[in-house]
Amino acid sequence: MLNYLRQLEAKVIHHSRRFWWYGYAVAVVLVCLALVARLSLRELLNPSPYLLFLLVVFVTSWLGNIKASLLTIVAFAVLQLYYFTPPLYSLSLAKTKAADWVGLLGFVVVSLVTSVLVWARNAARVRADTAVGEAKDSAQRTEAILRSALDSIIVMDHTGRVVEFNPAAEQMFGYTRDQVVGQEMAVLIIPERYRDKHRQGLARYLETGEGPVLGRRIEVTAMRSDGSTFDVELAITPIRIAGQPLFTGYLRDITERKQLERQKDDFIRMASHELKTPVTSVKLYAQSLQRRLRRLGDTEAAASLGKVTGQLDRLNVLINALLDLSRVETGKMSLNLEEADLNEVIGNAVSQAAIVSPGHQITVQGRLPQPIYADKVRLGQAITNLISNAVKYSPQGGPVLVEVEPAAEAVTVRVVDRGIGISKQQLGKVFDRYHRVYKQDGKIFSGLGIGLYITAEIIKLHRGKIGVESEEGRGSTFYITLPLSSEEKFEETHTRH
Amino acid sequence: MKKRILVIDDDITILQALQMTFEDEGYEVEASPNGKPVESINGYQPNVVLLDIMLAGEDGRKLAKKIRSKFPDKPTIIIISAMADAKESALKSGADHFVAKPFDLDHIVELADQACNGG
Repeated sequence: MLNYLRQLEAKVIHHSRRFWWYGYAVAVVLVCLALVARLSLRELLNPSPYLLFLLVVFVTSWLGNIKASLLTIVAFAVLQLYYFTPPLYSLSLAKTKAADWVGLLGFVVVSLVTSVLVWARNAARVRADTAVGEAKDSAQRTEAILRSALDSIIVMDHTGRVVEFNPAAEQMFGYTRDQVVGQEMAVLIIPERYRDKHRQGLARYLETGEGPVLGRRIEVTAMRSDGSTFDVELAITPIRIAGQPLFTGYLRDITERKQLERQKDDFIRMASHELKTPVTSVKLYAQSLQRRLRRLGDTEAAASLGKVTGQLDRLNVLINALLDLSRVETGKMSLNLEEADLNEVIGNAVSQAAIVSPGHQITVQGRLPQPIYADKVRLGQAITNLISNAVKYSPQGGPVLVEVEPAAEAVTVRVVDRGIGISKQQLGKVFDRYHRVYKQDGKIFSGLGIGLYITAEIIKLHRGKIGVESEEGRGSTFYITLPLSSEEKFEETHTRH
Repeated sequence: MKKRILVIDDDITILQALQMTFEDEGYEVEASPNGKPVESINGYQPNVVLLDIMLAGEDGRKLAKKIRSKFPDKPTIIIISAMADAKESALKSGADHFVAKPFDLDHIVELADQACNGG
């Protein structure tokens, strides 16, 4: 019986959620039934005239909604007045006795209290049901996501123990979920030599809230259950539940990608070697002959051979640019950092450019009194690139100014030209890979479109900044800002990022 | 005293060009496509050894190490390579100079002359 009532209740609540009129319909039917009952059983029910009405109000508010039960109360008050309160069959209140008034008022008050209580109880229950339902849905959704994810998902708690281990992780590592949940994650999937670092990182996060590896993709070595290791891409995001952090790690096997990268790297190395070897021999013979001709006094012929070597140098620059591009793309470009004299680096770049472009007047303004912590060769390459660009995009000749402006913690180097400038639309793209510049006649400027991209990468590796200001037709100013940090400071900022 | 140089490069064209150049410059040149002459370096006593890194079946850096372990001071070793990023490992192996290919011949000759003049 109780079960039946519960089912009935669930059904009615379900319907009344779907159809707004359902509660009212239930109320109308019940009011009509109650009226018929009271009219036909007048004698039997008269000792407790409001009992049946109260019962109906209770049921209506239980099954229907608060508005329907309020309507029921009003309807009963009117019906009571009309059918059962002398003078009968009249709604006139003038001649109603005080005792009847009290009874009617009592009924209304008790009904209202009953309705509100029942409504409040039901509303709380519906809310709880909804919350439970949503939590269940959410848990099911989460589980479905975990189960169907192609990436391995491992959740670790603040003690370093595994909380969740999805099927992709089971497949990747060769453990079942049951084997690993509750175990220390480090012992299971991190090769021994990296474990301490992982534990220190976790301890540091718990202590300071700082985690340099959190919230970004990193490449690490992972270990399978059989002890074999492989490369993975890992992203860890921390979340807080009940005050304690939980770490979700998303892992992807990148063995294949790494292998391809290595192959590509090997290929580029070999290709560069193969390309450079003939360039070397041709240049060697040209220079050897040049030396002979000079010795014989034929300076004209020697100068012609100088042009051959000049072109070979250009070819070599292109080969190096391709090599650098490959290094940047595979993350293999590294710096050989040492104390360097920025003025010397700039001086070399300027004299090199002056030899290649005698038509441009290149001047240096300002100097940096102290040494800078940098890779001399790479920084020289970056500055040479900027000067070569200034020269290249000032086809009419004209001055190129290299300005050095030291400040307290950084030094800015500006390369200013009065060349063709860069349009506003192009300005944001100049550091993009393969970006090319068009001449006014629609023809393209020579070059691979990777010089500024590589320059920007070199400056980024130095923890510096690069930028450009330009006005079309009036020239451009490229600037780099390099931190004036010591070796220790540089290392510190390097490891923190 | 006659200036002596040992040139090792498995690229015959480069080897011949270097031989021609250094002979022009008045050097006594021993040119080899492999590291064999390193074994008899004691008798030959060159002032300069010019070595390529990528030799067929051999690594120029290993040869440099071998020479340096036997002769800590002389000869001056110049490593040449198309791999510009090999500079660090080349200098570590005991070479005095590293020059990336394609190099400037004048620069190499200058380095060799300096070595012969005790610079």
